[in-house]
Amino acid sequence: MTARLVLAAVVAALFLLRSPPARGHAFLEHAEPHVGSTVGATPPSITLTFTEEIEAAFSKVELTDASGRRIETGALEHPESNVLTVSLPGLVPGSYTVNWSVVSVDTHATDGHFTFTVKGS
Amino acid sequence: MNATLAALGWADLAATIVLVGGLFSAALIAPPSEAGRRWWWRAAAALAVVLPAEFAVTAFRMYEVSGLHGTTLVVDLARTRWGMLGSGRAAGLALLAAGGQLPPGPLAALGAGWLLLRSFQGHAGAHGTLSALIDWLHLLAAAAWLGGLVQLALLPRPVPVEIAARVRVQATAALAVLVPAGIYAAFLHVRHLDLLVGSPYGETLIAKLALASVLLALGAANHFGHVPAMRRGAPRAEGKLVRAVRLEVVAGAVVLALTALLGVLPMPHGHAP
Repeated sequence: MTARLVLAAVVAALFLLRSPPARGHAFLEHAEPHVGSTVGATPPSITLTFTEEIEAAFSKVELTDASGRRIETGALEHPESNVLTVSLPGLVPGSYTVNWSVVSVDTHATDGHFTFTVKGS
Repeated sequence: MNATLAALGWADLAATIVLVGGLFSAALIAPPSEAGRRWWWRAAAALAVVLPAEFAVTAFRMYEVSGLHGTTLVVDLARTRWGMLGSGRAAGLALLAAGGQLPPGPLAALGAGWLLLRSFQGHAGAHGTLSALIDWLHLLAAAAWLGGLVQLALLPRPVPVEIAARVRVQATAALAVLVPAGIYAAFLHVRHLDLLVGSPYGETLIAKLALASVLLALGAANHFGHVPAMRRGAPRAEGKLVRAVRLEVVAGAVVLALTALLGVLPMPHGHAP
C-alpha cells in the first residue's frame, strides 16, 4: 500500500513539475575579447572564463566570420579548470561570432555565442 | 532528456537513502526486519541498474553535444570527474553488497563515506568542496531520517515502543543537521530572493521546502504526540504512529523527486557574459 502511494505521489510530482527544456549550468562569466567589443587588431586568442569547472573533452569553441564561414583556430586549450582558450590566426577587419558549447564537471551542457569586431589599423 | 535524468536521479537518490539509511538504522536503532533487509537488497539491485543507466544517458547527452562516439566517447566520459566518481560509486556499491555480513557499525561508516562520492559527483560538487561537504551532511541526515522511517514502516506490528523511541531520537538528531545544512545550501545556491521566485530551480526549491515542512509537521506529531502516547500505553497510539510514518515515507519520496529535479535544473546564480 505504502509502496503504491509512494509511486503514485512521485509520478504526480514529476508530472506536475516537468522540467523545462535543458538549460546550461556553466555560464560564461568573462570573455576576452569582450562580448560585443571592437578591437583595433586581431587578438592573440579567444579566452572564455565560465562560472563552473569545465570538461574540455566535450567542449568546443568555434569562430565564424560575418558570412558564416568557419575560421580555423588553434587547438582548444584548458589552462584552468574553468577557462577555455583558442589561439587565433590573423583576422581581416570585420565582425566575428564566437560559438561555444561546454560541459560542466557535473555533465550539464550549455552553449552560447557572442560577437566582436576587428576594426583594423 | 531532462525528465529521464530526473527520473533516474530520483531512483538513484531514493535507493541510496533506503540503502544507507537502512545501514544507519541497523547500526543505531535495531537489526532490520525481514522486510527491511529485503528492501536493502532491492535498493542495492536498483542502484546496480540505475548507475549504468545514468552513465548510458549521460553518454548519449555527451554524444549530442560533442559528436564524439564509440570507444572515444565512453573512455572520455569515464575519464571525466563525473565518470570517475561514478565508477567509485559503483565500486562502493559492490563493496557494500560484499560486506553485507560485516557488523552494522563499520557497514554504516562505509555507507556514509560512499555518500560523499555522490555529493562530489552532482551539482553541489561542481560548485566547490564546501558546497559538496554541505550537501554530504544534508544527504547523511536525510538518509538517517528517511531511511530510519522506511525501516520503521517495514517493521511487523505491533511496533515496539523502545524502537519507536530510538527512531524519535535519531530523527531529531538528523533534523538538527538536515535543516541548517539545507538552509545553508539554499543560500549558497540561490543568493537573491528574486532568483528564488523567478527561476525553475527556485520554484522547485520552494515546492520542496513546502513539502518538507509537511514532513516536519508529521515528525513533530510523532515526536510530541504519538511516541509519548505509546510510552504511556495509550490505545491506538501505535496505529497513529504507523499511519504518520507511512505518510512521511510517501511525502519523503516526493521530496526526493523534487531534489532529483533540482539536480538537473541550473542553479540561478547571476550570470553575466
